[in-house]
Amino acid sequence: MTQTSAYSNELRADTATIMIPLIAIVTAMATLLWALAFESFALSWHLWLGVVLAIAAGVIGRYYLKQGQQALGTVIFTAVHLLIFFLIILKNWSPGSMVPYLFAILIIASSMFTQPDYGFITWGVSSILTALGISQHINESMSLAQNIAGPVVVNLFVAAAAYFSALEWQVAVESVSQLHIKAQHRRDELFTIQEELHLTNAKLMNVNEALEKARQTAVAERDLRTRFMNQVSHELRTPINTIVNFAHILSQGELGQVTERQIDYLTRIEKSGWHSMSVLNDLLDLAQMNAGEFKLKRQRVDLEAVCEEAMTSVRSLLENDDVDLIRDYPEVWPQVLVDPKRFQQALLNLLSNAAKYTDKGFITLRVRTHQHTATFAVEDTGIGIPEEHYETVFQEFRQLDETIARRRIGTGLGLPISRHLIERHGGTLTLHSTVGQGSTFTITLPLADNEETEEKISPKLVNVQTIAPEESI
Amino acid sequence: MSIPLATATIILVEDDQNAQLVALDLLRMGGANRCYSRRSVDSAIFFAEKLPQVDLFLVDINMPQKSGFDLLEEVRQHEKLKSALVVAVTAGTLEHDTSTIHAFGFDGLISKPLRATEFANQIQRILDGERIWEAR
Repeated sequence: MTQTSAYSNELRADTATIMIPLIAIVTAMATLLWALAFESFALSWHLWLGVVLAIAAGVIGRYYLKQGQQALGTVIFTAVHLLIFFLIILKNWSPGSMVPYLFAILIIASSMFTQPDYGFITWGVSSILTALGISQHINESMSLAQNIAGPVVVNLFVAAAAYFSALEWQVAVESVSQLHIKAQHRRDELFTIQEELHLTNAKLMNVNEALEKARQTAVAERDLRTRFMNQVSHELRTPINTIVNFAHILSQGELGQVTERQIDYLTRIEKSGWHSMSVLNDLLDLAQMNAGEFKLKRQRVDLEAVCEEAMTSVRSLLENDDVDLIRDYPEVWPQVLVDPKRFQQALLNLLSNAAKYTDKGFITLRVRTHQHTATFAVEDTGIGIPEEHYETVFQEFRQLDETIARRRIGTGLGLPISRHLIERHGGTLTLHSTVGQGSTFTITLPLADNEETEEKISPKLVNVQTIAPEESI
Repeated sequence: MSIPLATATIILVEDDQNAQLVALDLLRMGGANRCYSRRSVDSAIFFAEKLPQVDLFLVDINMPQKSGFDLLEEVRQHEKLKSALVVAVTAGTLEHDTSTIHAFGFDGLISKPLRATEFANQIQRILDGERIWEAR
């Protein structure tokens, strides 16, 4: 049995629960009134029995319906009423009596309360009972068939009508209930979806909370690191300020006569101080780069001025006059977007690196414009770098020759920092070298598109700082 | 409104004694004659009020109690001192220091360590009306 017919059964049971006691009461009342019309109990006992049976049928039928056994309840009710009507026919039938037609009520009831075709069973039973009952009253002058034909045929029509209307009703109820069930399913689905949404939402909220916490921790850590770096820088710069400048003041003879040797030593103190300063700056840059907190202010700048300033600074680094500085500049300078301070830092690192490793010959700064790029090549005639070390020199804290390294002090941070700076500009820093003949470091930067908007910066802010007396790599 | 270094009245506000000596010596070597130093914002203002004219305050940003920012605010609100130049001197290195100091209304920024050969020249340029913003 499908769920839908269960649904129409449920409706039938509801109807039967109301109708069965009602019909039973009507039967009981009718038989009671009829019984009272007779003078002797001997003549009316079957009617009194009918009263009792009708009440019993109503009560028992209702009881079973309430228990969910609607077929049993309906069958008991129908059977008892068939019996009551049969007794009445048996005792009180006369030609033209309407009692056999009362079976129609039971036919309708049984087809409506159980299954549509049960009405035919009730019709069959009632036809037999009618025939049996009436046959007791038949004499020679009457035909049995003539007397039962009317109720049997009428009741058959009733059974057929009840069957079809019950069937139609069932179809209607079932299609409605199907819709209802579909709606229920849909509702259940929506509830499920809603629940899932709630769950997903809750999960997302959790993830969000976790992310927010992580973000806050990261921000707090970054702030702490920034504060710490600033503190370290401040604490080192303060004494270096004293050291280099007191040495300078003393070496100038401001506070009394100083000997050649004293001047030499004081100058060395000053230079060493500035050197540790540049190491500190390199370390801070590197820390910032590693933390990913390096910000560039790229703009169109006077590249010639930037290059010239770097060349001037490197001049002071060259200890002897055997090295010539050669400027190989173009007539029209390329247009590139650079952070002037950072670009110059990279360029100066390359130049001072060349100065450090070149004892004689020349250092050339060659600037060229190509189709999409501009190149800034720093060429020297120094000791050169073997090919297997091309990448090593860009790694932090690497210097090729330990003995040379000792003579030419530096942290080995200049080249890695330069490469990082250039890469942050969207460019590359490459090396080509021949041992014993020299090295060429080439900065390649993309040309600025005309449409490319430069970052807005007050030109007053752009004051490329001059370089410390000794800038190391 | 160019003021020669030799006749400019400069007040250095610096809590570190060594830094005071360095800056004063370098200014004097550069030809400055009217340089004074005080170790706190309050004493600098108190002292400045007694002078007939103050051209330039050189102030350390990081000081206990009142900072360089406090000094700038007090000078700008001061009836007599408000037209004086105020230049920050700092050993801090944070990139945003420059823009913060610029936005706050200082007339320039010089970072420590001071560059012995340039310091006096930088001050003269500031006195000449130039603005110097040295990130580090």
